[in-house]
Formats: sequence, structure tokens, C-alpha cells
Amino acid sequence: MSAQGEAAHLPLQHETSPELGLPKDNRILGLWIFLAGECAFFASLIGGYLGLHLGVAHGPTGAQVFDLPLTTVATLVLLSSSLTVVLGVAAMQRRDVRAMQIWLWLTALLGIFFLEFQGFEFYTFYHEGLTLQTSAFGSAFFTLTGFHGLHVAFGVFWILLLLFQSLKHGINEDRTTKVFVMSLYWHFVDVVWVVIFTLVYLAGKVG
Amino acid sequence: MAAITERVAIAHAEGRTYHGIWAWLATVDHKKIGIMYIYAALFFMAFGGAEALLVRIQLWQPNNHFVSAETFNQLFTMHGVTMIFLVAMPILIGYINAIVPLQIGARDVAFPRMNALSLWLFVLGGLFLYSSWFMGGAPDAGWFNYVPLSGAHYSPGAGVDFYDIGLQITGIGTLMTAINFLVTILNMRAPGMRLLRMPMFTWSALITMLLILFAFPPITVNLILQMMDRLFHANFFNIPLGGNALLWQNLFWIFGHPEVYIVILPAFGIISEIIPAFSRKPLFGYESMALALSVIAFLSFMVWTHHMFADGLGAVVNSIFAITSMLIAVPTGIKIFNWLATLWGGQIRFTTANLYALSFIPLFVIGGISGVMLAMAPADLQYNDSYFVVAHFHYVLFGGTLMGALAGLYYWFPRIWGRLLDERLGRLNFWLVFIGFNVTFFPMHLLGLEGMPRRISTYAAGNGWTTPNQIATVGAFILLIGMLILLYNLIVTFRRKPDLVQDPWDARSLEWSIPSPTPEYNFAQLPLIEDRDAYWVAKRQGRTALEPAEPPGPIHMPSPSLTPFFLALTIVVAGYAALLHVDWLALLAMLAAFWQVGAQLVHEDPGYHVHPEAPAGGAAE
Amino acid sequence: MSQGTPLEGAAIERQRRSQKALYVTIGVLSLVLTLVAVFLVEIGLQRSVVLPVLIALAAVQVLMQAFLFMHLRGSRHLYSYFFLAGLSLAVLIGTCLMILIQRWA
Repeated sequence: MSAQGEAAHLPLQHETSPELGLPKDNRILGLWIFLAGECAFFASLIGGYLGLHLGVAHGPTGAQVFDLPLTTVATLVLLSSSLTVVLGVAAMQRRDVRAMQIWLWLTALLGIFFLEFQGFEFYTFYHEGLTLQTSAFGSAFFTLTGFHGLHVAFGVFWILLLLFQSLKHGINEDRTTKVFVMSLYWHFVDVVWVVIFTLVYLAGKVG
Repeated sequence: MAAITERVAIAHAEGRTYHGIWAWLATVDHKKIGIMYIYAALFFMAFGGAEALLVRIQLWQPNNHFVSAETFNQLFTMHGVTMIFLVAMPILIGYINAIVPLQIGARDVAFPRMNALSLWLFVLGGLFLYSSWFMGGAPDAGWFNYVPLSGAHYSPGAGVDFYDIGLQITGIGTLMTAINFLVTILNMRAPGMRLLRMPMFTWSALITMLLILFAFPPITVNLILQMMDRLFHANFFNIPLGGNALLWQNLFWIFGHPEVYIVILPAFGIISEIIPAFSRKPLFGYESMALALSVIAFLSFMVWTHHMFADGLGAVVNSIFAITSMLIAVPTGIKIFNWLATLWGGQIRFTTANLYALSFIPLFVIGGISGVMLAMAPADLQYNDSYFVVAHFHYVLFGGTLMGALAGLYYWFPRIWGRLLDERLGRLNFWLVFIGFNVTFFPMHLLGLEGMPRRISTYAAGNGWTTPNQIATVGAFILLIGMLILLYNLIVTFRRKPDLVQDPWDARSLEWSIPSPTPEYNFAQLPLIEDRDAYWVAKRQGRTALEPAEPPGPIHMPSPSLTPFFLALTIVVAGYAALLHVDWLALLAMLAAFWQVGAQLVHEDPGYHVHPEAPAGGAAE
Repeated sequence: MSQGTPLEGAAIERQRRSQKALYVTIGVLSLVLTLVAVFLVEIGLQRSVVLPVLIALAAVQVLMQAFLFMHLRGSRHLYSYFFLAGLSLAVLIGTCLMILIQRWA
């Protein structure tokens, strides 16, 4: 059959065919569409939080437990990771694989730092009397920030996967698309955090 | 040429060949995936129908003891959940899978493996939901599962957990379908197939996928919030600790109203294919039909509070949503008039497919009229939560969606399975269903106006409710016989040898322009599209096929894969573990799922190549 | 990795460096805007004054990230349509939920 030999020469007709004018960007379009759905997902979580955050029962309020300096540092860390990932993509686009790998490592590390800050924050709140079970505010806060954290964790997992793949096998046309798509996801997760930081922490601390 | 069964049973890959059932489990071919969606939907329809029949028997007479109240609640809940999530959506998605890539001149969808994953999440998620009957009880708080009834306090059993987890599993699959078909329709149309040259069924699929994309995340969040409350004692809906019961209702209906448009828009699309085909005329007002679909979709996100008129939200809120709800009837009315204008002056053929499509029009209009009556908030307060509502939504969901789905079955059967369903049995099936449907559901308008509430397991004598209920139950049995005739038709048709007629209806769109059985790769050469209804235009110009847009050559196919099936299975295992509170297994299964997802993220599929036997032009059979 | 003539290669290099400069500028700007927002909260101004400003700052960050870091500017318009549709729906759902739940608690 020698399909293996054939495959090496022939184009992948699902995504190429430039002579037919078909765009090659199925995965990029797919991710933007996915992000539009994620907007609706986080909107529902955020809307629910905004509706419920005044329901503190006998537990603490946000203003009482939020440690703004700590969360600000976490925010700066995550925002920096957005910069590192876009520099990594730029390095990839000029085929500087080494630089790309360094920037991706940094991005993953910054993401892990962010998660550590979040974990420490959750731990502190728990000991200050705010848990998932304390009140509607507690439930909404931990669910919203928890799901965002899960998104960050998945992003870190994804970055490391692509990083190891590039370390083992280098980079090719297909993999540059994968890295770009991952970077879009990462930026989005960062953007969602900006919204959460503003509407939960900053708005919570305002008089 | 190999018989269809052999052809579909063998799938090739790099040095790997799957046979028999493994070929079906490992397929990433949209045509086979579509077939499995349709089979599974028909399978679940038998159960949803059985649940309905048991409900109708219990309601035959006052103070009946055929089933207990507890069982009755499970029956009507599962009937609703089954029909909407496990029958209506899957059968329409099945048609979209089987037909849309062919209609746009594509060889498959954008993400074939994810497409398979969507299918298995639906099938296994549906079985997960149904296992609830044997594991302590099915969900019993209604298909919309309102809190506080569905909370841990009033529903301590596992039933509602099956609902929360089961619908999460199937819902994620549906969201993936939306992403897949949006990219496919927007990116992979054949050269020259501009958006305004696409068949109307594909248009309806495009708009439906947009609805799914934006409507499913809110229900996903809602189900997560309830799972947090039930499994981890959170307080989203726990009023003493600051929770809010209206949050459930709002999130549910922000999803729920677009959802009913998700199940009707593809049916509109099917009608828009069948009526022109059997009138020998192009669809009247094509652009306004596409615009109407878009306006309906947009407005469907602006009406959700009409399900909450009796919640006490006040006159201002109720007025706003009453107006938007009445507005949405306008684009729908435009569609009805366009179908009538298509029929006007046409050479009409009364095939079974067309009988179903024609019946859609008056039945859906009746449902639409009762819908406008419900949209008027002050009037709604009289018949809210009564059988009037039951009548309304059955007229639009059965008289609309299901009649459309059955029309599609008869119409596309030859394209999907290479043979025609028997027309005599089809007519018998149609008339029994049509009569049975109306006998069952028309009396419910009157029952509702006479004050009979929904979801009651029995009723007292002397209200004037007994006779209409008995008529409705008789109608349900007529429906049963009609559906059994359909089953019989399917059996005898599959027993026959395939006819393999390429274009039995002398139809208009691209799916009929390729040989029967449909080749594995769909199009030997992608066609060049220069008109709307390009195949019809070609036939009128004396050509048997369209101009190719590319030279003949080997075609790259994606490899089959068992990963989608096993990933879906892993997720269902996690679901059971969470439900049964076996935390370590739930965690392990979720990690295994992420592992499999991770493998796919770095996966590179070399695929394989096929060499079509016949050049462009199609075999003249 | 430069294509064509040395002149073209140099032009590509310049473009890449200005791209990189843009990214760093945006990155630093994000950090600064965040600190400005925190500062406004810490100095304890009135809620009705601060909240709109905070929302505006967040909106600027979101649009900067989307159009510049995520390359929406210069990509297919279709991506922007999906993003803006998602954003609009998000604002609609979020606002409606907040109003409907808080007012009818």
C-alpha cells in the first residue's frame, strides 16, 4: 500500500488547497468561535456572582477578606504572562525555536505562580471563615475564581505539552498553528481575569 | 460495487483496518456519524413515546392508580428530557451531519474526530441518563428542574444528579458540534458557493449552530451551580444563606428559549428543501428566508422571561418580554408565507415526505397562534401552567419539529441509505400520525382553558376534564400504531436490496449530484458553483453533473480513531463516580480524560489517501 | 530566514522589531493601567465615580489584548464578529442577571 510514502508528498486536503482559495485557518476560526462561547459561559458565572454577592449570610463580605495587594501582584503576574506568550509567538514566527521555547517556559512558570497565589488566597479565606458553604457569596466567589483557575491550569498543561513536543520534534507548519491557537486561549483567560479582578475584587473593595 | 453494509463496515488507516462494530466505533466519517445519530434518536424516541403512553394511561380517568404519583413525576420528566435532548436535537443534528457537508460541496467537517466525540457523548450520556431508572429513580422535577424542588432538601435521591450530570455530558458534545459546523460552513464551502447560494437547510444549520454556541454555556453554568449545591453544599439556590431561586429560572430560560428555536430552525430548513423539490419551483423569497432565520435567532435571546410571567417580576418586565415575544412571530410568519408562495403555481407531487412537510405548515401555525396567545402576559396569567401550554408546545415541537424530522427521513432516506422507504406504508404512517397527533393534542387546548393544571398525576371527577383526557389517550394509541407502521416500513425497507438511485426526487441541491451509495470521500472532484440550486441549473442545461473545480487526483482522508469513543466513556465513568460519591474514581477519571485530550492536542494525523474510481461526471445509473 | 534581497530582509527586521516594541509597550501599559485602577480604589473615592472608571479601564485592557495581542487587527473580520458578538451577549447576560437577581431577591 505504501500509504506512508504517499502521505509524505500529498497535501492535506482538509486544510490546504490554496489553489482553490480555501482558507487554511480552520483551527484558528474554531478557537475564536470557542472563545465566543466561553464569553457566554463566564458571563453566566459573573452575572450569577453579581446577583448573589450581597448574600453574605453570617459570613464575611468581600471587602473584609480581599487582600488587594496580594491579588494585584497575582494580576500583574498573569498580565506579564500574556506578554511573554506573545513574544514567544513572535519568536516562533521568525522560526527562532530556542527563543520561543524560553518564552513559553516563562509563560508556564508565570501561570503556575498565578495559581500558587490563588491557592494561597483560597487557603487564607478558608481560615478567615469564607468557604464555599458559608454563604451564596462564598459559593459564587469560589466557583467563579475556581473555574477561572481551572482554565489557567489547563492552559499551563497545554503550553507544557506543546513545549515538550517542540523540544522532542522541533517545529513545523502544523505546530506553529497549534502554538498560535494556544496563545489565543491564553490571552482570553487573561482577559477574563481582568474582568473578574475589576468586578469582584476592585468593585468589592470600593466604598 | 460492494454492498453498502460492507462498504461502511471497513475503515482504513495507516496500516490499520477496522471491521464490523469497531469500524462504527472508530469512524470519523460524518455520514456514518449522522446515521448513528439518527438510529440513536429513533431508539430513544421509543422510550420517550413509551413514557408518554404511560402518562396518558394514568390520565385516562379520574383518581386512577395505574402508576404512583412518584412514578408519574419521573415519567413526564423523562419524557420531556428524552424528547428534547435525546430525540429532537440528535435527529436534526444527524441530518445536519449526513447532509450539510454534501450540500456545501465539502468532503467532511472541519474537525472529524471531535465530531465523533460529540456523537459518543450524546449516546453514552443518554444511556447514563436512562440508567437512572434502575439506579434509584429517574429525574422527577420536570424537564426544567426548578429549584427549590430540585434541590437537595426536596429531591434527596440521585434522580436530579442524573439530570445535572447527564445533561452536562450531552451538552458538551452539542457545543462541540456547534463549533465544528460553524467552521465547516464558514470555511469549507466549495469554490463559488457563496453564503447566499447555500441551500436553505444549510442556512438553518448555520444559524442553529450560532444559537447553540451562545445558549448552551448558560445551561452548563446552571447545571454546574446545582451540582455544586447538591454535591458540595454550596448556596447558589439556598435562600437562607443568600441564594436565589430565580437564578435557576433565569439561567435555564436564557438557554431554554433559544433551545426551542434550536430544535425548530433545522426543521424549517428541511421544509424549505422539500417544498421546492416537490413543487418543482425554487424557494420563494430566498433572501428573506435567510434574513428571517437570523432575526428569529437574534430575538430568541430577548424573550426568555415570557416563561416567568407568573413569577411576580412586575408589569414593566412582563411588558417588555411580551412585546419581544410577539415580535418574534413576524419573521416566522414571513417564512410561512414564503412556503405558501413556493407552492403556488407549482407542480406538486404528494410523496410521503411532502405530506409531512405540507402538514407542518398548518400544525406549526396553530402552535404559533397559541404561542402568541401565551405571549400576552395578562392573558397568560389565566392559562399559565395549564394544559393550554402543553397543547401549544406539542403543536410546535411535534407538529413542527417531529413532522419536519419525519419529512426529512423520507426525503433523505435514499441519499443516506441508498434505498427508498415504501410509499404506501409511508402514507399510512403519515395519516395515522397526523390524525393521532391532532386527536391527542387538540383537546388539550380546551382542557387548559377549562383549568386543568400541568404535571398532575391525577384529577377529580366533575370538572369536565374526563372526556377530553380520554380522547387524548385514544389519540396517543393511534399515534402508537402510526409509529409502529413506520417501524415496519423501516424493517421491510432494510430487508430489501438497495435501489441505489442517485436522484430519485429530481431535486435541486448538491447532495443529489453524487453517486449512490455516497462515496467515502463524497466528491471525486470538488464542484465549481455558479448559481443557487446549481445542480438543478445543470440538469436543466442538459448536464448530468457540475463542472469540477479541481483536477482529478488522490484524496486525503482523516484516519479513524477509537479515542473519541474511549474519551466519552471515560467522562461517563467520571459522571457515575461523582454521582455515587466515589471521589477518588471521579478525580482519576477526569485526569484520564484530560490526558486523552492532551494527547489529541499534540496529535498529528497523517491520514491516508484514496483514489476515486470514476472521474467527475458521476456514474449514469 | 530573510527572504529576497538584503533590502527586503532589513525591512522585515525593522518590522519585527517595531512589532516587538509594540508588544512590550502594550504589556507595560497593561501593568500600569492595573496599578492605576488599584490606586483609584485605595484612595477611597465615591463608588458612583470610581466604578465607571474601573469598568472603562477594564474595557481598554480587554480591547488592547484582543486587538493587538490576539492579532484581531489585521486578521479576518469574521474573528472580530464572533468576538464582539460574544462580548455583547456577555454584557447583556451579565447585566440582566445582575439586575433580575438583585432586584427580585
